[in-house]
Amino acid sequence: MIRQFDYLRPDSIDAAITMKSRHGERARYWAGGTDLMLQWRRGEVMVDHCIDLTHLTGLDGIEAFPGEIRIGAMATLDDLDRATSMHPVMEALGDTARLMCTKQTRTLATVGGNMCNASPGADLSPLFVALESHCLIQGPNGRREVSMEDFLTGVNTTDLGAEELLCTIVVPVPQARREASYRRVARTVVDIALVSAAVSLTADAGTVTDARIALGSVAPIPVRVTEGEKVLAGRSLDDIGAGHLEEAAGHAATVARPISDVRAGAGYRARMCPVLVRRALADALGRLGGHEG
Amino acid sequence: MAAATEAAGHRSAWRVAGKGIPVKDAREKVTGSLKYAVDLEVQGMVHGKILRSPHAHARIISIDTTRAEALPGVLGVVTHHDTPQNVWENAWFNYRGKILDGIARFHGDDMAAVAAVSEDVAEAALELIDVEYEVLDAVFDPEAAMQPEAPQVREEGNLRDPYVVKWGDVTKGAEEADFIVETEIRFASQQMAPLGRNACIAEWNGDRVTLWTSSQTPSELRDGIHEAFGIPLSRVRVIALPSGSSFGNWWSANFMLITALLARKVRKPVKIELSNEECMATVKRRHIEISRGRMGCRNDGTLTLAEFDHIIDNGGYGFKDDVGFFCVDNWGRAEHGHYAIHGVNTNLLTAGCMRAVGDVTLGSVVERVADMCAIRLGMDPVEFRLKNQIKPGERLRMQHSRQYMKGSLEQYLEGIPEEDRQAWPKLFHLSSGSTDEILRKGAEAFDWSSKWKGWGVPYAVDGPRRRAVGVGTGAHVCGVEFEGNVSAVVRINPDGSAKVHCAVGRQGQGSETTQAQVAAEELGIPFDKVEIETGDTDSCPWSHGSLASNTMYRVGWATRAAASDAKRQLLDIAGREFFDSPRHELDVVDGVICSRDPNKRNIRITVEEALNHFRGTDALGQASSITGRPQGPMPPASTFARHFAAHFADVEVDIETGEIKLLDFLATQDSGTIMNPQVMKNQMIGGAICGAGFAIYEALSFDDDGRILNANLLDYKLLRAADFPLRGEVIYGDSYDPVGPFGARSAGEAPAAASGPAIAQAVYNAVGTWVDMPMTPENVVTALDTLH
Repeated sequence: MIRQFDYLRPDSIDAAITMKSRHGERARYWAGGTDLMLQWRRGEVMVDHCIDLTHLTGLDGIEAFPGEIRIGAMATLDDLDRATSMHPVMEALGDTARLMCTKQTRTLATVGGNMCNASPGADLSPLFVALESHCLIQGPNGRREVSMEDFLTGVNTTDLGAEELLCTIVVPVPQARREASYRRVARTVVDIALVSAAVSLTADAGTVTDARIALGSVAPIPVRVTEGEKVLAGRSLDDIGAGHLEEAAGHAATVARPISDVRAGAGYRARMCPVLVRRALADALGRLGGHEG
Repeated sequence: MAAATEAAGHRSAWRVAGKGIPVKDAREKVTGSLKYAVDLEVQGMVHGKILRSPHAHARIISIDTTRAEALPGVLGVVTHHDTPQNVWENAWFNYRGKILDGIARFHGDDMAAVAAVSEDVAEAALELIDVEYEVLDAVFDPEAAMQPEAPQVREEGNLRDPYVVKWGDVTKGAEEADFIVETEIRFASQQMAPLGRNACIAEWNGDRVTLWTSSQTPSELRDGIHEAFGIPLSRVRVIALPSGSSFGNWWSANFMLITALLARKVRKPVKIELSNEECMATVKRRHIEISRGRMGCRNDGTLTLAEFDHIIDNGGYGFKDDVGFFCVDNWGRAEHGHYAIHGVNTNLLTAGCMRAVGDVTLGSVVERVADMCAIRLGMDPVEFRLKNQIKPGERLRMQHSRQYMKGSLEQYLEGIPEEDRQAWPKLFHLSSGSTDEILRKGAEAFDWSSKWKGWGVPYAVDGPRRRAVGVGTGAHVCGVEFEGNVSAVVRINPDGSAKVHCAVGRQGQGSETTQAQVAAEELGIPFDKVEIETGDTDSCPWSHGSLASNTMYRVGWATRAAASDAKRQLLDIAGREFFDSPRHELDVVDGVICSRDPNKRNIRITVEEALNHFRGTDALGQASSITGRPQGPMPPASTFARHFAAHFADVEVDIETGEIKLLDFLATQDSGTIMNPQVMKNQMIGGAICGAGFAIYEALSFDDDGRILNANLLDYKLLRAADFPLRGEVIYGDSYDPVGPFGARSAGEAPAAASGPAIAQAVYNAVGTWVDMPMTPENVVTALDTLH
C-alpha cells in the first residue's frame, strides 16, 4: 500500500546523490518505476522519499565512443530497441529488449533500473555479462567502475552503495568483429525467462579471439560458462564444428545451479542450458561466417 | 410456437436477426465510460475489508475484535458471532455454506470483515483482530479426500452421491469390441483469471437491501441474499453491472453477502472491492479433475463401448455432483456405456463452473480415448469423428434431467398441455445440429487432407522443430433448468420504442445486444428503438442468468416469447382501432403496422401513432405501456439441445525445449442461426483461446498448505492475442433450431472444449506421444523422455 511520501526532484546527478545520502534507506530513486511501483504497492519496499530522476539530463542517451558504446542508465528498453543499427552487439541487445514485457512498459522501463532491480530472471544481465560490460557509478565520494559480473551480487542485490547511483552501462566494441546472441525459453509472448543463455564471439582474421557465455535464471546472478568458452577461444572459424558447439554447451549443465519454482523445475532449467547455449553460439557463429551457424 | 415450423429460408427476410450489428455498449467500452462495479460509488459509502484465514482448515476458538473496533475510523466488525447461520446456495451448487461460520475450509477463506472510513483503515484494522485458531487436518488431493478416514471438509461429508448414466450393457460392449483402449488424465485447475476486478456495494433502507455488483446471475444472487438473511425476496434488490471477462467467476460470491452483512451492521452503504489477488485466490476456479476412460471399437471403426469415471474436486464450498458430460453424448453412438461423476470436497479454494465445465476436461479424455481408437485403426480423425459422433434425431445417453424446477422432469411434464408437448422436439434425443457439417466444411477450409500425414507424423521437420495438425470437437448444453424456468418482459412504449427486461450477464459476450436483436426482430421495430435492462432484479423476472450457455437459447426463447406477446397486444389494438381486422392479418415492419396481405386495405400506421391515438380513450391504460411475457411453456432444453464446435490446429513443437507455437487455428461451430456474426466470432475465438490456454500453460499452483502460489497474471500465464494465430475466418454451421429464437442455439462454451483436444492431437502428431495438459515446455520434454 502506498502511504504518504515526499517527492523530490533533483536538478543534477550530484543533487540526487545528496538527497539519497540525506534520506537513507527509505529514499528510493525513481527511474521508470515499473518494478518499484509494484514492489511499493505490495509493501515489499518502504518509500519515504521518492527521488525522481526522469528529467535529469546526461543519463538517458545511448552513444557510440571509440571502442565502446555508452548506455545511459535512464535509457529505456524501447531506446535500446531503437539503437540496434549502432553496432552488431546492439542488435543483440535490441532483440533482447523486444522480448521483454510489452511496448507500453518498454517505453517506461529503464536499462539501469532493470540492472539495479537485479532479478535473477533478467533478460539483459546475462547478455551484458557476455558482452564484457561494465557499470559507471557515481556516489558521494566520486565515480567508480565495476564490471557487470561484479555489479550483480545476488537476488535483487547489487554492488551499489546505499548512496550511489548507477549512471552508465558501458559495452565495449573491439576492433575485431563481435557478434552476440541471446536465447531463452519463456511461455507466452509476455513472460520472463524460465532459463536463458547469452554468448558473444569475437573473431579476428578468421579466428575466435574471445568467447563469452553466460546463463540467466539458473542462479541468483548470471553464471559464466568458462570451460565452454575455452573450447572455442583460439579456434579458427572454419574449424569449429557441431561437436565443438556441443562440447562448449555441455559445460553449461555443470555450472548451472537452478531452483524449482512456480515457473519451471530445476531439472528442466538445467537441461535447457546446453540447448540454449548451443543455439546462441550457432547464431553468433553464423553471423561471423562460421560453418556451423 | 411459430419457431418450430419456421423454415431457415425465412432468414433472408430478417431485418435485425442474423446481422452483425455493433454491440450496444461499444462506444462506452472503448471510451472507458462503461461502469463496472469497481467504478461505482454511492453517497455516504464506507469501505470494507475481509479477514482471511492463514490456514487451509481451522476452527476459530476465540475471536476478539476490541482492538480493531477501537481504531479511529473503524465503524464495525462482523464475525460468525453476528452472522445469520442460514445456508445459502449459489447456482448449480457452485457454493453452499453460511456467510461466516468460524471455520476455515481453504487458505484465504472469509473469517470476519471490517467496515471503516477508508480501505487503509479497514486493512489496518484487520491486523488488530485477535484470532485463536484450532488448526485441523487438511486434505488437498481429491482421491485422498474420498477415503473414509480423510479429514472432513464439510459437515455433510466430503463425498457427493455420484451422478451416473448407464446404457446398454458394458460387458457386452467390451465383448463386441475388437480392441479396447483406455487412459487416465489428471488435470490441473484453471483459474477464470478475470482481467477486471469486482466490487460490491450494499445499502440497507430499513429492512430492505440493495446490492450493486458485477454479476452474470442477478436473480440467483437475489435468491442467495434471501436465503442467507432469511428475508423475503421482495426486500432484496440486486442491480447487476457488467463484469467484463468472467468465465463463471462472477456469479454470486460470498464477498457480496459479507458486504450486505457489514452494511447492515454499520447502517451505512459499504463497498468491498477485491484486489487482483483476491479475485484469483478467494472466489472460484475450475475443479481439479481426474478422469479415467476406455472405449471399445470394432476394426471397421464402429465404437461399441464408452466408459468414463470422472472425479471433480469442489474445494471448500462447491457442492457439485456433476459437470458437463455432453462430450460423452457427442460420442454416444456406442451401444453400450456408462459414466459416473464424483464430486468431492477438499481444503482448496472453492471450485465451480468455469467455461464449458467438464466438457473441457472430461471432454479432453473422451477425445483422446477416441483418438487412441483411431490410431489403432490408422483412421483419419476427421473421418472417425464423422463416423462416431451423434447426429440430429439420435438418442442422447443422458436419460434424466436433473432437479428440474426443483422437482422432477416428470412432474413438470404433467402440467404441460399435450398440444404444447407435441410441438416440442423429442425429449432425450438431439434436436438439431451436430459436428457433421462443420467438420466437413472446416476440413476443407483448413486443407486438412493435405496437411494431415497420418498419426504421429509431422508434415514438416526443421531441425528440432516439428509441425503437425490436429482436430478436436466439443459440445455443451444450451441452458439448464435446474432452479427454474427463465422469463423475460418486453414493454412497448407509446412512442414506439421498446424495452427488454431479462436477467443476463454482461461479460463481453454481447447479450445486451443479441437479446435486443431477438426482441426487435420479433416486434418488427428498428433495433435502435430497443433498449435493454439486464441487471435489476426489481424489473427483470427470474432467470438463471448467463451460465450453462443459457443466454441465447433459454433467455432468448423467453425474450422472443415476451416480444411476441407484446406484439399480439399491439396488433389487437391496431386491428380493432384502425384495420377492422384480426391480429393475425397484421404485421409490424420497421415500426409500421400494416396488413400482411398487400392487396388488402392500404393502411400504414406507425406503432407510435397507433398507441397515441388510442391513449385518449384507453381507460385501462393498456396502450400506455404494453407489457408482454411468455404465454406458453418452455421446453426443457437440457433434454435435447446442444451446441457443437470443431477446431483445427496447426502447431510447431520444439522437441529440444518443449515449446509449442500455434501456427494456425480454424474455429467452426454449429449454434443454429447466428444471431450476430460479430458477437459469435468473438465467442468462438475467445473460447478457443481459453481452451488453448488451459491446454498449454494455465494451471493454478498450490503449495503443501493449499495456498495458491500464482494468484497473479505474472505467473499465471494467460495466452495473449499475439500468442494466438491471426485468422480472420471462422465457419458457422447452417442448422436451424426448432426451439431457440429464430433458430438460434447457444454459443459460448463448446469452443472452449474443442480447442484443447485439437491442440493436444496436433502435438501428438508432431512428436508421436500424448502430452497431458498443461503442455508446458517442461511437460512436453518430460513426455518426450518416455519415448526413448
